[in-house]
Formats: sequence, structure tokens, C-alpha cells
Amino acid sequence: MSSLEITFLGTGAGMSTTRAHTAIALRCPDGTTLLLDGSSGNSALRNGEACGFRAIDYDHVLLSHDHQDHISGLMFIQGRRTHESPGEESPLSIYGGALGLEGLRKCAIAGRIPDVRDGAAYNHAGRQVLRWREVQPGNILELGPQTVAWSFDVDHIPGSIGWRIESSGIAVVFSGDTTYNRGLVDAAQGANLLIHEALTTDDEHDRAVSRLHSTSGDAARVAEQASVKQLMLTHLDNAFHENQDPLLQDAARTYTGPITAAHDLMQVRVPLS
Amino acid sequence: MKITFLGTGAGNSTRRAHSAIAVECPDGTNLLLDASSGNSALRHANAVGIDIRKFDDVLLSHDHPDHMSGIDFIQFDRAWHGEGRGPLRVHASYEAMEGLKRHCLATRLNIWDISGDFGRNYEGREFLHWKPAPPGHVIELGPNTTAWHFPADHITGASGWRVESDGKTVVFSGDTRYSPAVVKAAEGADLLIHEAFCVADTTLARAAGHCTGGEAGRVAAETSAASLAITHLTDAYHEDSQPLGVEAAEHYAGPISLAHDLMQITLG
Repeated sequence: MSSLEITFLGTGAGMSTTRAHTAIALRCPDGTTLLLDGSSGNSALRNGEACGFRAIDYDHVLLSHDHQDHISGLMFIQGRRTHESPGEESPLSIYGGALGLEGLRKCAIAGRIPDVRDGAAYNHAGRQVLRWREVQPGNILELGPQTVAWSFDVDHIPGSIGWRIESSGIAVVFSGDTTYNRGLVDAAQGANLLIHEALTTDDEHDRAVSRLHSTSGDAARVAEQASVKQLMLTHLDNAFHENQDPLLQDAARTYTGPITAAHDLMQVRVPLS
Repeated sequence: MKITFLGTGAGNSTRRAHSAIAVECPDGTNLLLDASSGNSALRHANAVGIDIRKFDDVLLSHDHPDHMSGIDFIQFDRAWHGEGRGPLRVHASYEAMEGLKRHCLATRLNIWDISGDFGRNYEGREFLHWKPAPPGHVIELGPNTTAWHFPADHITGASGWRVESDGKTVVFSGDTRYSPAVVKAAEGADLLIHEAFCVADTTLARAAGHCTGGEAGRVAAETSAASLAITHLTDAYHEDSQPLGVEAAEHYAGPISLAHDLMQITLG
């Protein structure tokens, strides 16, 4: 594959009644397939199916935080993996921060997985279906022959992180959920693509901050200060489901590179340079 | 009485939303039969112009996540936008209610305290009203709308629901194997909404805790339902659901609908 392919399986904010919740699939040039967050319900499965992804395709999940709109879909993905390869499924591999993984553990219990212990969950047949491992900010994970990732702290609920993925020379950075964050500027330096959340336009800055989220102008400040090559806005509220122009206009005042607003099932390819 | 299928997929579905059915009654009572998962019920209600914030009652069939976990997002949406409508009332068997409460405590989406009759947020405000009831107990949901649940043969505490409003009756099987209890409870229903998992192989269906299309047809015939809708479909029957209906029709001579997401049926 001569490009890194990004598929948005869910682009809605937590309160969205129009879009699937956050999940992004990455097909890396070396064949590694990653999932950034797991959406809720079976939304990532349904939108994945529509874009040619099966549940067993995901080599690793990189988790931003443990809000239900970002993690609860992982329970249905693990169930579907067993359905797709009964008795032969490998556990769904998940990386996250300590607090995010504690939330995931509770979510696995809530999801009625019968045996949850020691960083893993086991189904009725005794097979390990989930396995999670804690990451520290800046620790480099080797996820494929040419693919690495590391996390960095962001400002949302305690323990929230964002991710930088590098594969065959392409860097993609995902903000997770966050307010404007200086650490994100450092982590996103020179990235080919910054995927940043945006809940409101700049005139509602106080509301965005009170909800621990960013405005599109905040996202643009990060993109500009980090000199990224491209900015994509995601995690959109119902107000911007039909028309994203207000978000894009605010962002364009600060960031001069290309800006796109994501929607469910959108696919973007970043070519190898 | 207007019935809207907000989700018609089985637990492993990658093509459909999970189970949820919106029922709008002539007396103004609005209720949900199951709640799907994630924000699927919210999205599909929005897509057909149904204001889910005007639905004050959820009748839960059982506590499998594909049927109940959407309550997380329904109550959360209502907490922000359901101005003055009070806590969402959830009706279920005692066993299913305990499962739901454990779920809410584990996910902690707005609900931090499940003690007593209510699910409350961190400030002690009430957002979910637990209304467990024994089988056969008639619940008054509106001036002319009642409902009661009956045992289904699936997991412990699984139920089906019979809803009666202004002389019309809808019966929902929930998830179940072929069960005489469903036949008994569905007697004379105007619409029987029954699950079906596969065709022909009753042993496979039984092992999975579900029914074949033929068994759904048998229930409809034995209970003399006026019409049958088949739901809870696996991916195998997403594109072409006809085999389920053909098998049901071997037993049942009445009208059969094969449900799909956003399908609507009006009674009366």
C-alpha cells in the first residue's frame, strides 16, 4: 500500500443524535490496522462493514479515554471477533492510560464478559477476548514492522490522552477529547495530518471549555503552532451535522493549511512522500 | 398506534442497529420496547422525526447489552434536553432490572447512584426510575394504555411484553426460544413482533436461545395473532430476509412483515 488510509467510523460528539460516536480506523502502509477509540454500541461495526472492515481486522486499539461514547463499542467488536473466527480469535489488543483502562475494565464487566482479571477478559468458552496494556506518555509502542505510536497527555477528564502514530514516514496525530493543549502542540509537530476535536465555534468558547472540549479555532491554533500539513475536525455536535462552514471559517482564520470537517464513512489517504 | 422499528439487528449484527421499537399510542403515550445500544435509538428516532425525549417509559425485555445499553445515552440526552419531563421510567422483570442497575453503575454515564428507586447523578438528581414488576402485573402507562410482561425463554429474567392501547394489542417476544408462554400471552394480538434467528435448524436456534422463522410463524398461528412482524435479524438475512418469512408462512396464514431499521407499522 502506497498510502496511509484513514476511515472515520464515527464523528459525533457524545450528545450527537445524528452521527456515530468517535472511532477512526487506520490502514497503515505496512499492513497494520489500528482503531482509534471504539465508538458506542455496534456503530463502529456497522460503519466498518460499510467500508470493508471486519472486526478481526483490527490489530490494536488505541484508546483516548473511558467515556462511554469512546469505549463501549469495543465490547461489541470483541463479541463479533468471536463470531467471525469462533475458537480461533486472538484477543482484541488495547492500549490506553491507567485511568482509561480502569474504565475499560468496568465497561467489560458492564458488558457481561464473564471473567475479567489481570488486564484481560475471558468469554464463556474461557478464551481471552480482550487484553489491555497501560502506556506512559512518550513510551514508543511498536505496532507493526514500520508502525509506531505513542501517547501524550491532554486536558479532558483525568487520564485522557491523545496519540501520535508514525508509519512508513507518515505521522498522524489524534487529539482525543481535549481543550486547547500545549502538549498537543509539541506532540503534533510537523505531522502530515492532525485529527482534532471541535465542539463549537469560537463564539461559544466558554461552553466548549466548560464541557472540556475545544473550539474549531482552538484546533486551528494547535495545527498552526505545530506546523502540521493538514487539519481534520471531528467529534461534531448536532449543530454542525449538516453545515460545517462556521467551524471551518473559524479555523481558517488561524490555520492556513487545508482544513476538512470529517463525517461518518469519510476516507482520507495520506500518500507516502 | 404507530410502531417504528429503530433497531432490528441481532447481537452480532454489523448491518443493523440493535433492538429497539418505538410505540406511539393514540392516547399520547409513547414507549420504547428495548433501547438498542450506543446512540442508535437516538439516531434512528431523529432520522424519522420522532422526538425520543417525549418517550417517558422503556419496557425492557432483558439485560443483554444490545437491548439495554442504549439507555445510557437516552437518559443522558434527556438529562440535557428533556426539560421538566422527569426521570425516564424503566420497566422490567426484577432480574433484568438488577442487570440494568449494575450496568449503569459500571458505565457511570451520568448515573452514579443506583440505590432505592432511582438512578441519580453525582448531585443526587434523579434521571432513571426503576420500576421492576412481576410477570402479569398490569402497568398503567397512560389513560388508555397498559402493559404487562411475561416470561420468555432466553436468559434468566428475560421477558416479552404485551401492550394494549385503545383496543389495539401489540405483543413483543423479546429474545426467546419457541415458548408456549409467548403463545399464551400473545392471544388475539393485532400485531405479534417476534424474533427469528435462522431457518430450518431449530437445534441451532435453541442453542443460541433464539427461534427459527418457522417457530415464529408457529407462535403467530397458535395464538391467532392478526399479523406478524419478524425482527432481530442476523447479517445472513439482512439483504434477503425472505427465507425467514417463507418459513413462517408454512405455519401462519396471516400477513407477515420482515422488519428493517426505520420500518413503520400503523394499527387501527
